[in-house]
Amino acid sequence: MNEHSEAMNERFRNSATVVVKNVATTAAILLSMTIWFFIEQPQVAIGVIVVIALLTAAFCWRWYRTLIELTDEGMIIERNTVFKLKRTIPYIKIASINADRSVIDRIFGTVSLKVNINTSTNVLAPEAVLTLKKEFAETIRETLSLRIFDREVTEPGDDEGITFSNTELVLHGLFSMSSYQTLFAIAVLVYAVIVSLFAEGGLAGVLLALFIVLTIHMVPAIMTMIRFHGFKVSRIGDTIHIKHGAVQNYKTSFEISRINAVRIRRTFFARLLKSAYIEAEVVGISAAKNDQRPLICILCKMSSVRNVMETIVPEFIYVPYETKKQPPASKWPMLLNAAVVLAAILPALGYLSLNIDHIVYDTEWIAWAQTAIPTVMVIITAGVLAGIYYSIKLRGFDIGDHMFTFSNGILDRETSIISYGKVQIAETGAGIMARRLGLAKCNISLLSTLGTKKIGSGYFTEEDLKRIPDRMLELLEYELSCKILTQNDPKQKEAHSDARV
Amino acid sequence: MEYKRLDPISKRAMYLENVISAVILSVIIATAIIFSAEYIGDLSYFPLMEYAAIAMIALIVLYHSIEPIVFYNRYRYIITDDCIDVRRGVIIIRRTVVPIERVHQVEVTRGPILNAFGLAEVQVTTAGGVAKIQYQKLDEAEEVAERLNALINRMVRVMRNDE
Repeated sequence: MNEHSEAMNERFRNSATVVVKNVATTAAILLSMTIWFFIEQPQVAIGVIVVIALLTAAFCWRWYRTLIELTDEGMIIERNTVFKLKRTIPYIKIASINADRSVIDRIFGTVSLKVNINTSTNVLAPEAVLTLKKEFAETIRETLSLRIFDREVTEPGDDEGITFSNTELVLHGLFSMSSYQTLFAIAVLVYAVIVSLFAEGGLAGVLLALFIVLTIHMVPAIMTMIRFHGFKVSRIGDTIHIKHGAVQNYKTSFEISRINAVRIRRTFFARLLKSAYIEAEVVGISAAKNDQRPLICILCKMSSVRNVMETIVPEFIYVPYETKKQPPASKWPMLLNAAVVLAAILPALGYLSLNIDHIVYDTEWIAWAQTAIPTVMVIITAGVLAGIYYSIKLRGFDIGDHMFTFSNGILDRETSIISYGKVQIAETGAGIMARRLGLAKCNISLLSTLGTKKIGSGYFTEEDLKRIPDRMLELLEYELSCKILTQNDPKQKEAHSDARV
Repeated sequence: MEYKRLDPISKRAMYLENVISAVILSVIIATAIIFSAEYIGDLSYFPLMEYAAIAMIALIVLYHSIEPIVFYNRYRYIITDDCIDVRRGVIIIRRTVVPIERVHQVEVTRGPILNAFGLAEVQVTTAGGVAKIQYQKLDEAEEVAERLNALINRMVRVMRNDE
């Protein structure tokens, strides 16, 4: 506790590593833009060196004049350079503190503490980044946790928590991405094999195809494997701890109450392997790099997914992972919508096909277009009808006392388990045909890791969907009346605060 | 408490907005046809394109003439102690429910058209998006905003005392 008191009383600076990071980033950008001119115009190199030197001085000045203080109310960051800054972050607003270690951090023995607040305007970037020596960073993290959560956050031991095998990591890298992306890569790969076997002198085509496969599938897969290497998730009390990363270590912890929704995702290839992975919508975590939400579990067998759900987020379990499917009558509004879209597209394509000889004059191209356009028409119609068939079969909805579930997706499927308490706006809508059949669709707006997120349902009975806003208001009303009751009665207030602890 | 309806003057504002919107859309379609004639060549090979364009413009004009009446007749809203509930729509009827507890900000906005008719719009911002109560008479819009602010403040007081 003495260390904490010291941290509370003194003003401190970031580690000088922050200057090294800034200089390295700026130098890398400047050099990548100008290096091509160095041979022909050496004076450019001298100019770049001068600019880097000036910027280094500016970064040093900024580092020296930036002070951080932890007061009773919040964290204050004060900068006294040409641009004055005094930013106060109240502890009550802080949602999470992440500890990241980049390569530079590891070389200099420092840790970057990212302080995130719970707001939609700042979901992608942390509110403050403190770069501190490892031991001091741990002390500050504990001090902040004590202030935010009213208790010290106990770090999980090395043997605590759920870990995943290297095979699971490799499968996650390969098959957690969109199946359309994987299928496209496979199609290109097949093309490359056919060309290399049967076409003479098709080396350029094969190389191009392999390059495409590498860029769209293999590189993202390897990056994912590096990012989630050593993935470990654990829960101590109400705090969830996540740790992963081979090159850059990523470590975060957040309260279970910060999770707005849990999503079980099963891509086409994951389903073939009877596997899934779990994403969480946690606001104020700034983990949304490369459009990725924080994971609670990487791709693994369904039995392991259930184990993770039961161990880490049991609050989000209320159904046996199965939802009620759309009623058969839902095909009619979908068919009507499809008919409207097809009535616009098909005649236009048919008309184009019949008059293609007025646009293209080459007979070979005319013949090709006259085959290709009707084929496209058939594919579109078949695709739309298959979409409706699978939508009825697969889109699901279920309603519980504290959570509700939407299941969406045809090739890549996802089941979103959402807490009523986290819904910001609920909107139900029904077109002409749906109204006649007593059906509607529902859209839920949530605050998500990447900003605002809308999750939509399929067609279900209006009565069922109406229960979402009704239940949401019931729970809010109950919560509010509990609060008013506890405020009016000091004994109840004491009991209530004990219960909350 | 009953659902409130729009003031009849809102229909005039909607008509003016729709006239402007229909003219812009028709000009875009006409321009697209003229330009495609230049690229494709003789449009006489494609007489249906001209008819399709005319049909599209006719549909736009028809929809924009009917929309204000249907929108006006269907629009309903209610503000209770717990939530804002708005029902609206022409082809698709939507019901939007925003709990008062989720509201971060209330804003009364007026564009030039609404201003010309003494109308305004109340925009309610939550962390998950924006909901609107449209075509309100200015004094009513300000009353709505005031009421919402009072409800939010009450809610905030309860929350703060709890903390």
